[in-house]
Amino acid sequence: MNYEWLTAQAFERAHVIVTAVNTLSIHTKLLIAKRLAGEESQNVAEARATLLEFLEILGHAVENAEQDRDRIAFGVDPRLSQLAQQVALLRRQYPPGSALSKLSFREARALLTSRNPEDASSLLTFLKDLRTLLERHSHTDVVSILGDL
Amino acid sequence: MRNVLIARNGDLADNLARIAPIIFTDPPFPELESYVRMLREYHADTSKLVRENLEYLALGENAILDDIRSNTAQALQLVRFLSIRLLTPIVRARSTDRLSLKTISWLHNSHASTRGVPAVFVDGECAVWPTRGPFPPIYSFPADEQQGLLFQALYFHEFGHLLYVFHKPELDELVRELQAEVDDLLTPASLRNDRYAERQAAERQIVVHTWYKWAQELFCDAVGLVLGGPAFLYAISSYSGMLELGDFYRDVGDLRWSDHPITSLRIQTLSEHARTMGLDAADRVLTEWKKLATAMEVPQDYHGFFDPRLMPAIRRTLDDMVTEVGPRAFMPDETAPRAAIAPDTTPVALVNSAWQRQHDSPQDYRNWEKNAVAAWIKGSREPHLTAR
Repeated sequence: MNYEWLTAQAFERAHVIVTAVNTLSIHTKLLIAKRLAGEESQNVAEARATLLEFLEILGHAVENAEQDRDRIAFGVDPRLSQLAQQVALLRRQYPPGSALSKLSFREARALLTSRNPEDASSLLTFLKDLRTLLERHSHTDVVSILGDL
Repeated sequence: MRNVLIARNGDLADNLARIAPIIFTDPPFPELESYVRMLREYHADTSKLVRENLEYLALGENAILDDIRSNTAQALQLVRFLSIRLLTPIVRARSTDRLSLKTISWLHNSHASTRGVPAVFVDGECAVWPTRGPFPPIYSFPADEQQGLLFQALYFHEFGHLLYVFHKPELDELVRELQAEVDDLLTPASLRNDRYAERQAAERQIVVHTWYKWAQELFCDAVGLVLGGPAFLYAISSYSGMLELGDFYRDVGDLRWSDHPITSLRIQTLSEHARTMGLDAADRVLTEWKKLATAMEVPQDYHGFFDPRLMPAIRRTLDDMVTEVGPRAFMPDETAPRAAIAPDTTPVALVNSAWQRQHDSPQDYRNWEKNAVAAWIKGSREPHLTAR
């Protein structure tokens, strides 16, 4: 009996979230390039919902960690907790570099649901920074599940 | 980058085309049908992702190149995962797999939240990858133990991990409360405010995170006991006990970030739970472990990762977690002596019969087990999937 269960869950979570980021990012960019009409496919709506749910969970873990004196997120699996700590670290950096440190989770969620074309640029920056964070963080899980040469 | 991505997606399309005949052939036995059906969906979804990548690349829109790069990476992972893990259960299928598949399938159907989840496993240590989708949960189980009945009950523990995933928010909340109690009890009352403070904080972080994993393992043990009764206790005691010092004591370096509590602590927790259920097996198992501890003169030192004063909080948390999830509880007649095994005998009754037989007449056990497995597997439906 080993703890691969945690790695497998983290691997799956990263796949689902990164895929959702890509779906929404491609949709937004094609809208800007006027290669799409305004209507939204079911895939894009699901991607928004997936990201909103994830930000809710991550935001809770980050707040949880920021409240503790040693920045420990209680009741959060260790891989997600490590991700939350990375976000908490970004948020303490000055000047803020990543969109994850410039925006509160509430603002990020508002961006995800916004249909205002003026928000598109900020949304794309946020999605790019979120994907960078997730791809860096999930590399350990990917190697653990798929192996390395 | 565009040409690289076109080439990589073309390769992935070739991989998927080569894999298709394996998936679209009838499985060797009916217990794999639902898994193969799921694999076909997985294959279709991955093929769609690769097709979309190529369609987007054909647009010639540079702004989306990095998104397609990332989507190609995701498709690559899906295809690798298919090849490394998901195909094995059908490519290497053996008739002896039917025993484990029937046990897992019964477990999934025993709970509303996992009903219909395909049953599948591969060779390996006792483990599960408890994913909810797009990846199917995959169990692994040692090759020898797959073929017998005595350790089938260990699947009940692994099933606990899957139940945890389906009830994660509620269970995480209960674990959070337990972690806070652990933290209160194990962290020094006065924290230093010097160069050692950082080290102290890091140690505290490790203890709290380690308990997230320990709490889940103890919960899975509790699920195993509730589902399987005495058979689970006997199985875990026999399988986990390696007759070495590490069963009772581990160095602090081994405890940090460890996946499981010290085995003797798990057995103690489980046995005390079993006692409250009125199971005689508890005394039998505890006596065995106490004799070993005495003979090996093991030190009682948990290096700050456990304190006996935590036991009431652990017991209360586990009870709340089990109540929250509500796994099917074993029935009294499933632990009573059974004259015959039939295809509709529950796995719980089957494994309890096995342990009774093993304890009562070990010399006849292997022969009895062979007949019991054959009788239990007999009567399964014939495959009816259509090859494409």
